[in-house]
Amino acid sequence: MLAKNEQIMLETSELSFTYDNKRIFNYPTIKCDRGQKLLIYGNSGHGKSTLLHLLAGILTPNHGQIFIDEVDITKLRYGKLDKYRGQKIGFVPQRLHLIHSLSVQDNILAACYFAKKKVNKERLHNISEELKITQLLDRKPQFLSLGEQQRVSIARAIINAPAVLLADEPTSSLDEKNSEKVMELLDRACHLDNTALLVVSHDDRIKRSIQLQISL
Amino acid sequence: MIRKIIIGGLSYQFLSTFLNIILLAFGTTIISLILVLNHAYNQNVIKDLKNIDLVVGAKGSSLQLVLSSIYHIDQPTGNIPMEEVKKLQNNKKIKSITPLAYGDNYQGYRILGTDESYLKKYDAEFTSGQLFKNNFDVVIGADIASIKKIKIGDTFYGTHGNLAIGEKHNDHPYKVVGILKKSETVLDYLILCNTNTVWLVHHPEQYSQDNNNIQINELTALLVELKSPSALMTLPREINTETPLQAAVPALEINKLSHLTGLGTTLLEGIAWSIIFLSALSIFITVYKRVQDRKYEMAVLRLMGATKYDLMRIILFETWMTTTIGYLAGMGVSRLGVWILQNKIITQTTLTIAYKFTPTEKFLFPILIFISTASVIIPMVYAFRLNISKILADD
Repeated sequence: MLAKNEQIMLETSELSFTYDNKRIFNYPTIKCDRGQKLLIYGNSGHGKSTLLHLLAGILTPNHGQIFIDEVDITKLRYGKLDKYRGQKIGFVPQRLHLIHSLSVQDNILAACYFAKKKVNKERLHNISEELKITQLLDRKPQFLSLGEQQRVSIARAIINAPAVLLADEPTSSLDEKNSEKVMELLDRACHLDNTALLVVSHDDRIKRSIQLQISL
Repeated sequence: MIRKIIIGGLSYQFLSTFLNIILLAFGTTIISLILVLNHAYNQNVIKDLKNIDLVVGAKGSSLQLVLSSIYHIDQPTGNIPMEEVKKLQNNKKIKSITPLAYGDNYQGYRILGTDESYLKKYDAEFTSGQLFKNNFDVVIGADIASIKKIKIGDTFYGTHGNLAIGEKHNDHPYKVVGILKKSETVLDYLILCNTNTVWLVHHPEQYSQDNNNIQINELTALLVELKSPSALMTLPREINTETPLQAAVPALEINKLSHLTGLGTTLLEGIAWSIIFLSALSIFITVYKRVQDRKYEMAVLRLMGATKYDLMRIILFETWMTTTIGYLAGMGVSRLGVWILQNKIITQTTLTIAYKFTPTEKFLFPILIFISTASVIIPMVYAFRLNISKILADD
C-alpha cells in the first residue's frame, strides 16, 4: 500500500502488462504531483501508449497498482471506473476525433454529462477564454482548423477539472511552431486547476518543455 | 446530451435511417389498415346482423340479397309480390317480419321504406324529432345528418335508384321529422320512411289516396326473426323450394364472404410483416455499419466516462427513435387512409371505421420495438466489447 499524500495525483508501483503472453511491459514507478509535468518518452514499441491506456483505466494491468488522486483505479470495476475516469482523468488522444454532430460547446459538455458532473458555465467560459475558443463554441467541429480542434480537445479533457491530464503524442504530426503552441496550451490548461500533466511521446522537441522525464 | 448524440447518430447515415423509417412506416401502415378494417368489418357485421335470422327476397344471388338487405351495399335481387309476403306473415315458425322497400336515394344515401320494427332491431334512439308518422316523413341517420348538415323540418327530393346521379323525383319532397343518434350500425347511413312513401314515389297517381287505401303490390325484401333456432334448419329450404322467393341465412353468407376476403387479408398481412422484418434487417445492417464507422467516436465517449452500457443505450435509443418515428409515420398514414376511406371512398356505405386504436393494434408498437431491439442485439454486443485501447492505438 502506498503512502497517502494529497500532493501526489498519479502514482504507480510495480506496473506490468502482457499482450497475449508474448510482449511483456514492466514499467518503472511513476509519481506525479499536483501541478507537475512528466514526460514519458521512448521509441515506438516500448509500451508508451500502453502505459497511457493503463493510467487511463482502459487497460487492466497484469500486476501493480495505479493511484489517481489517492484511489487505486485497478480496484475499480465497470461503471465506477468509467465514472472515475470521466471525473479525474483528462485524456487528449493522438487524433482529435470530436463528435461532428455536436457543437464545440456540446463536445466539451459531453464530458460533464458522461462523468455525471454538473455543468459549470462559468468554468466553461474560463476555459474557453484561456484556450481562445469562445468564438468557436457554437460551431460544428468539421468547420474548425486542426489547431482549433486541438484546443477544443484539450478543453474537453480539462472541463471536469481532472486530477491528471494524459496526452498521447500531442505533437507528433505538428511542425516546430505548432508543437510549441500545443505544449503551451497544455501547460496553460493544467495551470488552471494545478492539474498533473503526463505526456507520452517520442518527439524530442517536447523534452525542452518538460523537465521531469522517464525513458522507456 | 444523449438526445443530441442520438440525433447526430441518426443523421450520420441519413439516407439509411430514412430508408428504415420508410420501410417501418410502410409495414405499419398496411398492418394498421388491415387491423382497422378487419375490426370495423367484424364489429359492423356482428352489429348489423342483430335479430336477423333470415333474409327473404327475390330469387338470385343469396350473398347479394344479404348484402343489399342488411348492409345496403349491393343492388337488390328484385321485388317480391305482396301476396307471398302475406303468406309468410302467417307462418308459425316466424316471430317477426320487417319489410324493406327500396327505390330512391338522396345524394347517394339510400332511402329505405320500412316500419318501426327496423329501428327496434338496432335499438335506435333519436337525437331529435320522432319516428315517421305520415307519408314522406323521413328519419335521418346520424352520419348523413352530420355530413349533409340536415336538421328537423328540412325537405329534399330523392333521386331514382341507388346512384346520386339519376332521375329526380320532383313531385313530392321528403320532410325530415327525426334524426337518429350515432349507433355505428347501418342506421347511420340510411334515410328511413314508411313503405307507403316508397310506393307513392313510384306511383304518384295514388298521392290523393287515403293511407288505408294505398295498395302496395311489392316489397324489396324481408328481414325475418324466427321463433326458434330449429326453424333455421327447415324454413329456408321450404321458402326456396316451395315459393317464388329466396331465403338466405345471413350468418352463413357472411361466413363465406369472410373466408374469401380472409385469404386476401392473410396475404396482405404476410406481405406487411415481411416488410417489417426487412426493415429490421435493414436496421441491423445500418446500425452495425454505423457502430463500426463510429468506433473511434465511441472510444472517445468511453474516455470521457461513458460506460459500456451508455454505448448500448445510445444504440438502443437510436433504434427506438427510428422505430418510433417509423411507427408514428405509419400510424399517421394509416389514419389518413382511414379518413380517405371514410370520407372519400366508402362515404355511402354502412361500414363505420373508427380512428381509435383497435384492440390488436395496441400491440403493434410493442411488437415493433421488440423486433427492432432484437435486430440491434449484435451491434450492441459489438459496442459493448469494443477494445478502446486497440482502437486508440490503431488509429
